[in-house]
Amino acid sequence: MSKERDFHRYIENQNREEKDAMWKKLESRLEEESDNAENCGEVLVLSKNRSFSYVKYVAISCIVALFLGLTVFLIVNYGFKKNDGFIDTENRYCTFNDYYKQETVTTIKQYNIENNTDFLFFDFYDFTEYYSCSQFKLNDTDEIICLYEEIVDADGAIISLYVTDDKTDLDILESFSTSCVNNAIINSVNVSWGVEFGLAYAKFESEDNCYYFSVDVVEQDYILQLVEMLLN
Amino acid sequence: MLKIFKKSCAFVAIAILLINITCVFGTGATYERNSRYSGYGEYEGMTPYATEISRETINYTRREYENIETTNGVPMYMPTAGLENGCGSVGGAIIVGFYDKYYENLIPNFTPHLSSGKYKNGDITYVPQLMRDLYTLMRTNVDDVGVSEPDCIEGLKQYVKGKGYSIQVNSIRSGSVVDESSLKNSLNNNKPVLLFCDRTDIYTVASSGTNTDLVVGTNLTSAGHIVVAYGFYTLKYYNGNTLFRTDKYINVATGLSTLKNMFLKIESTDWCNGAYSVAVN
Repeated sequence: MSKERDFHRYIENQNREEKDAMWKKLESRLEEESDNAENCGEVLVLSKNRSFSYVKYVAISCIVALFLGLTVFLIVNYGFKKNDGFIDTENRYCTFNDYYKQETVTTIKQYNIENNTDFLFFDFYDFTEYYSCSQFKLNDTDEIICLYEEIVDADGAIISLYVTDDKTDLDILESFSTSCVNNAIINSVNVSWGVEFGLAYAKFESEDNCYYFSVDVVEQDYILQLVEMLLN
Repeated sequence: MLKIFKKSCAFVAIAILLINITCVFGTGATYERNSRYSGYGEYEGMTPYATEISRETINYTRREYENIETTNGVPMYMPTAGLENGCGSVGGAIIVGFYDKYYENLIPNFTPHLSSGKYKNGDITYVPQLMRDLYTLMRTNVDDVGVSEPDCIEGLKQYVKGKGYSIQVNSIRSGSVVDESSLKNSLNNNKPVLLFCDRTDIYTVASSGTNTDLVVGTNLTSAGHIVVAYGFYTLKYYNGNTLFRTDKYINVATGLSTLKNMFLKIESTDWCNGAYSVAVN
């Protein structure tokens, strides 16, 4: 303990003369400054400075709070919602908030010719009583994510066909997963299908594309015949 | 003076913080039923479309079902591009398309059905124009997001009257549910029903053919939504001769899909804000 004290004293006494000179300089400066303050005659200057620093503090706090709030608001409301599992990922799940439906005169057959694609379709155009075509497009980019065609067959049954690629899932097509509870293999393709309450459903994947369709004929043979027709 | 200034500054700072917290996290206010109907569209508090809420398997030895449906159902129209929050105009268009089969030129120069009597579910010109007209008449997105119940009904009335026909819109809601006998009566008389849903939980029933039903509930949207009822199903499940379960469903056109296997549970009390049988003559 005494060794430590000696060591401390040794440090304090080092450069003693320089330290004394520094103290003298500091004292003379303090004296000068107090003289200046007296000459000003108004000591409230200090008080004004304090007030100014308080306002500045509040203003900076407000700006920081506003900035932080705005940042969090933008991230919560736009950042996550727009990008969550949608942008920058290969597989995407699109909800009704992401896309819109656009009616079109372009049939799937015509689309294939114009875009050099090879989507399957029901080639009833020459004799059908009615067909109607739509495209589902992304709100942000107008990219086509699904083709939809409704067409009447030779017997008057209405077929609704949706085509997507195998990386795009649409919310409105989810009920096919529930409705198609049976399985079959047609032309080496796994087909899910179901019949319920006056409608038959089928879905299958072929050459990187997904096909979902329904027909208002409940005979199970017919829905499977339609799948076969598409695949041939 | 300085104290007042300091207090004002502090008050402003607290107010800004409170506004930020409200913007980011919502008000946390107690739940209120939707008074606007937008069906879809992106805004605070809305759950994503098609969120699965239940999945149930029912095993039975025998199932019976009865159903009532308007003649050929209704046209399953979907929203046309550019009509944001337009579920009111889609619901209205489905009603108008349904009656156009019986009352010519409700949709000018358009035949809404096939020779079999079945409805066309789409069109590139006339149905989109009908939706645009209804969208405007219903004052969609004018006072707030979507459409209100009175504006929706009034817009539909104006459209039909404008085409020279009369329209009756009668409430069939009883307490917090759709009145079952009134609904059946309406459908038996070939009158579709306009439903104003506080939340839209759709049930899909699928039968595997091995005496098992799968019932999947999906919340289409937690926002107010308008759908059109055109059918009613009663499903009775038996084990041997014992009836152990009866499910009652309203078959609806959701206005978001052409698919027909879409049911609302009539007995649930948490969704129906309004139900109106619509007659045109």
